[in-house]
Amino acid sequence: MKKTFLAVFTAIVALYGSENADIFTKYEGTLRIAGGTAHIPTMKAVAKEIEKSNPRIKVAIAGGGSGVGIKKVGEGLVDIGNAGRAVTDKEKSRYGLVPFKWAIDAIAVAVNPSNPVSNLEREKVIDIFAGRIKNWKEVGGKDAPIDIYTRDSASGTRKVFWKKMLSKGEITPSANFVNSNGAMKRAIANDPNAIGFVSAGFLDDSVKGISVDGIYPDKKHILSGEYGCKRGLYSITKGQPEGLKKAFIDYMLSPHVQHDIVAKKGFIPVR
Amino acid sequence: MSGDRLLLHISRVVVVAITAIYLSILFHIIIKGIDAIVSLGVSDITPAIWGSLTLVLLSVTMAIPLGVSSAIYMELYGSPKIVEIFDISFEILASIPSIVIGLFGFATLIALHRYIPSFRASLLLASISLCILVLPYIVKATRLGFSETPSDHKAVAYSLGATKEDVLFRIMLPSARGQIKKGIFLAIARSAEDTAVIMLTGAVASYGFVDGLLSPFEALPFYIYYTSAVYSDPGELLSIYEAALILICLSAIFIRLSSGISRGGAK
Amino acid sequence: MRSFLTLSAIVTASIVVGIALFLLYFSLPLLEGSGLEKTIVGGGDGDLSYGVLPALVGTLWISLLSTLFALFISLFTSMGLESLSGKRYTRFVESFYEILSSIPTVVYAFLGIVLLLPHMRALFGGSGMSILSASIVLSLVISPTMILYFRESFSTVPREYRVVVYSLGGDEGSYIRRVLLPFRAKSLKVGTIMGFARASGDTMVSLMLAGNSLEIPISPLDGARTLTTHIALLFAEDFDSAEFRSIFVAGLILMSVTISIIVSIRKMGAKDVG
Repeated sequence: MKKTFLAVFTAIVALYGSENADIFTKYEGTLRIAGGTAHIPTMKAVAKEIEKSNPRIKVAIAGGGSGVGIKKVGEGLVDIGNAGRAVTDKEKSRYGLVPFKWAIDAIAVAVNPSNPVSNLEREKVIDIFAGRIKNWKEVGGKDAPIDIYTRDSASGTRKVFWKKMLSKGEITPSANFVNSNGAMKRAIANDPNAIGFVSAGFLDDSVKGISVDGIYPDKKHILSGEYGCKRGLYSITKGQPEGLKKAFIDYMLSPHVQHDIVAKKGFIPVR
Repeated sequence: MSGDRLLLHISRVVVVAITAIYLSILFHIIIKGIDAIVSLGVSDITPAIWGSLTLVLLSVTMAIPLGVSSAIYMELYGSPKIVEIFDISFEILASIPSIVIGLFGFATLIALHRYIPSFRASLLLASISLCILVLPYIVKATRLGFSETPSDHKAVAYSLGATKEDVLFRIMLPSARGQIKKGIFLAIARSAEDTAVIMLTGAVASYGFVDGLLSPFEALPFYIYYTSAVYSDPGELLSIYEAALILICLSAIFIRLSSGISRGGAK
Repeated sequence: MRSFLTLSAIVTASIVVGIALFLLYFSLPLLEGSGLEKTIVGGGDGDLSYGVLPALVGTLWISLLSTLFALFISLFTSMGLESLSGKRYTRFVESFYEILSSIPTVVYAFLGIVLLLPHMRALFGGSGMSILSASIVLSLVISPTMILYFRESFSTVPREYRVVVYSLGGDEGSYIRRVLLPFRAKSLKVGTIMGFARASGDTMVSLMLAGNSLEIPISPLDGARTLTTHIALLFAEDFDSAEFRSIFVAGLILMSVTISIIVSIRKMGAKDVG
């Protein structure tokens, strides 16, 4: 029974898995994308495939954060806006936005790999970011001041982190600002006493994600809901997408992209 | 006298120390840059090189006629009061922080986009903004060139019945050619290296080769800024050095060609 | 012909006015809505405030500190070069400084990240990014131009003055201290103001090296943002928000500073500020 199922499943995957970027052959022009920085590595990989299969299409990818993505697509400055947070009703009705979720991601509390701390109670995390706990030794680490890194106000990553992890607690104004997930990673990797928050998909050898209340933000805990600080990655269009935009959204949701790109980049596919 | 000696010694120590510091900085970047070019090739940054070249070409080409005409107007047709006002305007324009110029470009984008939806952060907007940035250099250079034109040449021409236009094209412009060229080189160097203006008007982290006035573009200085914040492996870090080296060579060559102008060197 | 030229001139000269007007226009809603005081100090909406005061203080810190460093560096380097002038290598050294003055600020900032920050982290802990880090690198950015400017003005002092000093038993040190500096005090002042203007207008060095924190900085080891980086950090904000509007206020302040500097330099009689 199991063997038959496996065979059928493999056949289906093989069938769909062979779908590639050929759906783009009838289009041409520029696709402008902007917004969430967590989306960028995925966007780049997808853009590469699209441009390879059809050189008449060019994809422009910019960052700026979720707020920028929503604003720009709403104002018609880009074709697709990326956001790492849900579009508010106000934004939706103001611009007529249609979001498409193509991944599930979590926001991890991250520290430098040399930091011995691997777990923190959520209360402690809140106190650290508020500036009430100032030294690593207070939470079981080295005797060194805690350097806090936070994101710019357009950041969806920050908004979700602030709401879900910090319960809307304040972030101390003496924190250093970085303006993308990539920059956050780079900053934490450079500073042994750093603490910050970053998309879980971005965690690798250069930064160390820590558990909160004993729960690590891996796929299992995110999907089960035990790790609560999670969010979706969205690509948003103004109105229903047509033409090249629709092809792009469809492609993002295709099994090939979901399994071979989204999952590879460290996120959880929605399909 | 010992105070004098002390001053002398401190000065000499400082010269040596500072020159050594700058030298080592320069060597560091040259060596790493060459290492990068040899081991990585330039394929990563070719779109940025192309973008920068296009940007510079467009902005300087726009600045030349505007700048030279304004200088001609000031020289030949403006009343002293007008010239004084223009002078101060250009002086201010030359000193405004580049980010404010970028902000102006961006504000223009917001204002115009409402009425012309296809007007976007693009090569066109960035070029216009950069043109504004370098305009004062062209104007100043042309004025300087005119001021160095021997006045007896002009006097003789007028006395022979030449019109203002004749004097302009046959005497003043040819004589000012050298200075104008220097101003152009300065403008080229300045527009190639600027980051703040293009950051707000169309430079993006990833696009490939710019293809049209309304397209987004990559550029070397923006590549350096962006990548230095988000690099995730030593290869990316190294690629920043090659962008930096190319940019330095470009700027150094054009600044060298233009030397003499910013110090108001009289011949 | 003439009308074309007039048109060009009017267009280019009115750009400055245009910039000022745009800045005012976009700042007004904030100034009207919150009033002048709140605009500067900031109202705040929980986690992020829009006041430009922290940026203003940051600009003052970094501009003053870097100009101070640069003055020291440039003055002593120029004097040192003067005392060595006539030797063959001084010509070479001056070309070297010309090349240095052409290096883009973003390259200096990048070098600051890879060469300076690790040492700052080791010495002072933390991220390494601070007012001090930015000021050190910024002083290196503006020094070559100041050095060239000082050298140019030193070179216009007649040779005979040197001879007179030597004949009275002095050496190069005496010449520099008692003749050169007093005679060229005005260009020293102008050069310093020029350096300050460049420092206050810089964006990239502060953006990449000063940490960009929101607090009002009280020590050189604090992180800070400047009026310029304030604009760079917030320009992509929501168009209708107070934060967004505040970047135009920052721009207005910067422009006012620029205009005051230009006017004061002109009053001092040095027209060619290049």
